[in-house]
Amino acid sequence: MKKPIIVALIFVIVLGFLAYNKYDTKEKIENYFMVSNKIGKIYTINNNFDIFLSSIDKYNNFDIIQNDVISVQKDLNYIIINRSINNLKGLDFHKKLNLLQKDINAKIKIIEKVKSYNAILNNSFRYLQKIKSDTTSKEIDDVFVVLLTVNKNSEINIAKEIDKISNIKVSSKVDKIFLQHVKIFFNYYKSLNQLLELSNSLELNKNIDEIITIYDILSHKNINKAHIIVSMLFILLILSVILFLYDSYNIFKKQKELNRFKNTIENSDNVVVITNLNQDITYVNKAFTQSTGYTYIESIGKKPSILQSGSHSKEFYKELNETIYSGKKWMGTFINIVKDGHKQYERSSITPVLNDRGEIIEFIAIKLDITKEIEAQNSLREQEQIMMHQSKMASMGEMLTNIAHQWRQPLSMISTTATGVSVQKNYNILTDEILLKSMDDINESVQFLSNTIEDFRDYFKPNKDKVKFDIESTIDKSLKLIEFDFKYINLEVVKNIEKIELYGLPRELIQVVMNILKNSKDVLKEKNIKDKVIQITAFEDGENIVMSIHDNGGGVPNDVIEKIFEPYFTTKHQSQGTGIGLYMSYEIIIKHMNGSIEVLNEKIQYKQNEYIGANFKITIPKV
Amino acid sequence: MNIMFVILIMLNTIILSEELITPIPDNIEYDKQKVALGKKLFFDTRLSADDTISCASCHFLNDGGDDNIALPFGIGGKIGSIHTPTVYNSRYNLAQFWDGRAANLKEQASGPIHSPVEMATNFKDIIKKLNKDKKLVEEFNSVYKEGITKYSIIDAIVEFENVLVTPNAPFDKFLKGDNNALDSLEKEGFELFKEYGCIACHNGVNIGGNLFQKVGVVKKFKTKLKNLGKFNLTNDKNDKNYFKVPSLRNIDKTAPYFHDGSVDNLKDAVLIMFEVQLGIDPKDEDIEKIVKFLQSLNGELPSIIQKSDK
Repeated sequence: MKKPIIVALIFVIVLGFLAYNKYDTKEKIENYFMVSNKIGKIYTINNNFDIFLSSIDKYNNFDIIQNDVISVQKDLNYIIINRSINNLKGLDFHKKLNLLQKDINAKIKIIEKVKSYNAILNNSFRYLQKIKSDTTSKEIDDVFVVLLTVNKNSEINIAKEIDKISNIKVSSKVDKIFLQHVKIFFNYYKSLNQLLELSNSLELNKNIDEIITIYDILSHKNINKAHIIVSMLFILLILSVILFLYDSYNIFKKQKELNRFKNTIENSDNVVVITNLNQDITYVNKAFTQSTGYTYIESIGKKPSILQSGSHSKEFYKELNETIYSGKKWMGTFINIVKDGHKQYERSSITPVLNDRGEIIEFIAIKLDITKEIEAQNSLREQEQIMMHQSKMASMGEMLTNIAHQWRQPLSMISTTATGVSVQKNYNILTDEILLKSMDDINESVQFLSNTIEDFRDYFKPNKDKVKFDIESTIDKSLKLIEFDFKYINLEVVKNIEKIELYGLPRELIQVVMNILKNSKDVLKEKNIKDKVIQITAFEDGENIVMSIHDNGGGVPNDVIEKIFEPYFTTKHQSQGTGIGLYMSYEIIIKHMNGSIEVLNEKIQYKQNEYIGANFKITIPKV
Repeated sequence: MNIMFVILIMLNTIILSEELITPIPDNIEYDKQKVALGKKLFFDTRLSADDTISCASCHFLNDGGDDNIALPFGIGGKIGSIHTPTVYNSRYNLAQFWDGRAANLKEQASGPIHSPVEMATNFKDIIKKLNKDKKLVEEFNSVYKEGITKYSIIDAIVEFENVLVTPNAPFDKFLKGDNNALDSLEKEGFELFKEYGCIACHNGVNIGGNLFQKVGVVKKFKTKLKNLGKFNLTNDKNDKNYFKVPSLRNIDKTAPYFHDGSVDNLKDAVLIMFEVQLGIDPKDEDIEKIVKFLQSLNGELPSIIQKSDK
């Protein structure tokens, strides 16, 4: 913003200089003409002087020549004290000017004297002409001839003539007067000629011509200089105009760019809020008004706290303020309540804007409404819970079969024992020993039933508290819940489990193991492998427990192996699988236990035969 | 330049061939306030050392503008060294004083003030005295922003003196075309004035006053004064006895005549001029006619001068 001001300043200064110089030049030129005019007048008056000096043969009105004298003195004075004349240097101009003044004053003195000579000569000459006819001497005739031709014949020696006249002896009174006047005439004529010679020797015309020439040269030099300055200034002016236009164009361009940015911000999907240092809102974009329901006018001047939901702690705001007021960028998620009362999630960044001195002048908050994503996440979580439940329910059928199967033997045993006691009592063969033994058997069977129910119930208890548990017992519990038909299908479980304790949620691990075992069992049953086996190994590997459940069911087909942990994916018949067992196992291991699970098709040895089978490898941290 | 030159020569010829004597112009431009102030100062004796002499002490404005005596007396009855010239029409003179030592009236004004035989004072004292006169100070302040200074005193007096012209003499009226303004004797006198060559020196608007001339061209001018005129200034022997030719306007009222005031009678003065300047022995009747002509040169007093002024 400073640059255009400087350019404008330069512009004004140049313009000022130009105006001044233009004025100065104008004055110089005017002055030049004035002085030229005066010099011209001096020239003319000098000519008048010469005319006067040569017009001695008649009476003059001396006022006229006196006016010229006054005028020439004035003009000379004007020139000599003229400021611009003083600025002219070189060519001995001032010396010549002073010389001119001196010469003109000398000429004025000559004129002064010539006035008096003019009067005397005229009067004597006229009087001589008048009384000539009254003279008697012949010598007077000769004198008179000389007198009449004196101004035409330069060879006449006036001094000699005066001598001659002194020697002439006349008798009459008129002759005497005549000669007296002739003498006066010649004397003054001589003096006059001396003055005229002096006047001619001044060569004033030549001097004035010279001064005119020099003055023209010097003035033109000066005027040319002024013209050059004006031209240069004019060029400068044009340059500064160009500079000014260029700058204006740049500003225009920047403005356009800024507008583009502004439009971008205005129409951005991101909410943009700008506040001043006091966090009063100074700007909001369309996305803001759309997402919050507050209009632009409603928002300006308010604080962003109009959106506060009360969901954040004091510490949250403290940390936010400390961050932004220290000049750093803050990032986080706000939970807001918008105008119509809806809850809104905003992923936000607040950036302080600093000025040249590094002071914060405002804050720009760029926020993205992530309410939908959060809601989607939440619904996903709910869905997951539903699926978890579904999964549990799915396994319940399995387990119920198992329970039914497990209960069958103790129930028939209770029934058989009870019947046996009853029959033996009827035949009075029931001994106390048999009775006690039978009661113990029944009791044992009931205990078994109770345990079975306990295990079952245990599985459906909600997962809450983390506990210490043993990996082997966990695997056994899993087996117990589904192993009822393993014998019938000739499936052997080979365990190789180290004694490891870990801390966590045992039931979730049971669910995982159970799901994998069930999956393996189903595969083995379907493929009808003769010697079915599931190897379960578990060992400690540093901080982790590595568990593998490996069957000999031929492995997972390649087109399936990638999708095996996806929800609702199943290869089984609709009635058999829900497609969420392995997905749940995956979710539990990855998300709840921070572990990893993978499935590989690997070789397995069983009863001197080598098989290919799916190997589920689970790695979970001990704590 | 050449064409200009030719035209100028022609122009000059025309001008030069015009009348040798021109009438006093009817109207003179002047600053009324300054003139009023100048008039006051002209009559103000505070311009002299002992408050006895004013300009008007030697320039009687109702009687030809001079003092009617051969040599003036100034402060303490001291006698001046040269005859008082008239103040009337002095603006038309090429210089002031008999010897022309003042180029103009402004230069002239301080002469008598400082002259020990005239007013014998200085501007410092005058200004001090005048500043005590509150009314005068006010008048000055209304005209000159600087108040009473040497410049303003002289400027006011000169402005007044510039008004002291005497137009409309019968001869002026004659010059302006009124053929009846002069009677036949006067007309003849003018012709003789020209014929004898009086006009050689007495020409221009002031009928004199526009050149310096030697007094005693043909014969020595007899005088008791030892004043050598222009020579006093220039020390040039050619300037000996050169005096400013006096104006002939109001000549009838400005007796006695010449720089020494030695001649009381106009006719005698004319005769002396014929003798020492022209070297001519004129007829008596011609002299009478010339005197008659000279008497027609009395002009009208300027309106600012009333009869009561002395």
